Amino acid sequence: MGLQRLNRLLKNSICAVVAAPIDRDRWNLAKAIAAKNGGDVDTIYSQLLYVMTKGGNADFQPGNPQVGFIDLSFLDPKHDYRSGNVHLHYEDGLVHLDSFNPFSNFPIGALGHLIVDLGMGNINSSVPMN
Amino acid sequence: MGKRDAATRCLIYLTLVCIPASAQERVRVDLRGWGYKSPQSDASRFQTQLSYQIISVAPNGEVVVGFVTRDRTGLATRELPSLSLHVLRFAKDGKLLSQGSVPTQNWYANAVFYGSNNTLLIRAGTKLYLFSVNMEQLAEKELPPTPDSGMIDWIIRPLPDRDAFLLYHYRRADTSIALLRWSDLKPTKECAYNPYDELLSVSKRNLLSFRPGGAKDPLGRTAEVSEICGSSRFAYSWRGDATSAALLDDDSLILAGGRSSVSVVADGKVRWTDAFDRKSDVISSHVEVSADSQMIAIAVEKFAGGSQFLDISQKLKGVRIAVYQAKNGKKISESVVNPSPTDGFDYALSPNGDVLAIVSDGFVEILSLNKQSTDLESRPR
Repeated sequence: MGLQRLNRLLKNSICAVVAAPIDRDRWNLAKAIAAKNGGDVDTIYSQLLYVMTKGGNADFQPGNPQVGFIDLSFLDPKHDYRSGNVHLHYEDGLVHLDSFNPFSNFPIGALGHLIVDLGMGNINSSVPMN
Repeated sequence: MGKRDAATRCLIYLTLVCIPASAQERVRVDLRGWGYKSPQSDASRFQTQLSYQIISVAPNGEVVVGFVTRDRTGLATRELPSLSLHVLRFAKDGKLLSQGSVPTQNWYANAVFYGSNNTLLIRAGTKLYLFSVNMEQLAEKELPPTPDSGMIDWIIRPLPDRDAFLLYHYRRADTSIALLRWSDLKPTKECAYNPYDELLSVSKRNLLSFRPGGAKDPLGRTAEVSEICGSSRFAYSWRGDATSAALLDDDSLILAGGRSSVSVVADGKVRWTDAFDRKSDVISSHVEVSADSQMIAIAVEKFAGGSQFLDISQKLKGVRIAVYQAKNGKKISESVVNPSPTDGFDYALSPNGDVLAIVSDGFVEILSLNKQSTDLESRPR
């Protein structure tokens, strides 16, 4: 029981620490999606559900996938379901914001993605949230 | 006498062998024989992957399924777009009963539903149609797009008894919902709806609105249940894990999606949970509930590969559909989806939960379920 409480406390503390960068990512992603599909930033923000931090990215569910409240049809399947820096991991339905799109401005995009997104991570990459 | 004994034993053996096989009859239909074509381009395939609500089951086990093909080339107009939504109705044994098609503007904003009075509700892009089961048009309604909405503008949520449905219309600050009669598409209730909420589910009297946590609690999730165009009845909040919720009935919820477990919550308490492999299995957000609230079906996706450090997605290795008795979490069926979906995929339960229909990449499977089946070990906690 004590361990469970400690575990919960630890999880809550970690979450409190990373809540701000996750929220910043959520706003940035909402703005990036709105810039692509013309939607309202506040509405898109409100429906981005934080799921986990993985490989340095805060991954969000873009509305319920079976409902698709947020229109992601602007993403390019030929570019690994990306548009700009918005990247949908199609298989698990989660979306995040990269710092660089590896498919644009070759080789700058590819190098930037390798160094910043994969190497350094966008945020709190040391905190495994999932 | 010896021969008679042997014959009796043989008969008993055959009966025993045949019983498990008949516990779950499975009929398979290849839609390519009825005009299905896999999307040709990456873009159309992606948009097909975004589609849902493309299969529905009637009380008698008949199945209606929809798929989109590009039928016309050249200049497409609003009146004559280049795509068609094909609607096919099959008997429980897989025999084609009727078919038809309607024009549609895109690959995914389409839906098909079986109504309670032998009608089909069909959404094809910007139009909503009511058809008889023999594809005679009975009524239609325009679903005009909201300019630059960035959201899916129209969402249909049928009520369990299928004599009415909720129609969600996203219009930024003027977002609304309406309760429409199935028989003539006329509204009986209409009210404003919070554009920041997600309308995920509807029961006989209530609807479920889902909202993610705010800035200070990114793992927070809340499902609020309120009367249709009425007051709030109760809310249930949790942290992490399930990323979606659905109404089991007016008072109970199912939590699923995003992670490897499914739970049923009633009176604010988790009644049962079934957990799958945490490392590889993810339960989809789509939960099918039979109209009598007795059975639920979920899709379990199995992933493998990928890299957590390098942020490389895992690959989908397969999908199976698990069906449970809702009250106690007893699993009565688990079926592998064949083929594993790469294009369109959906599944539906019949109103009394005795038939499960699955469509995946142009193949329909119709499974007769034994609701009392005990041949699968249940693992509720």
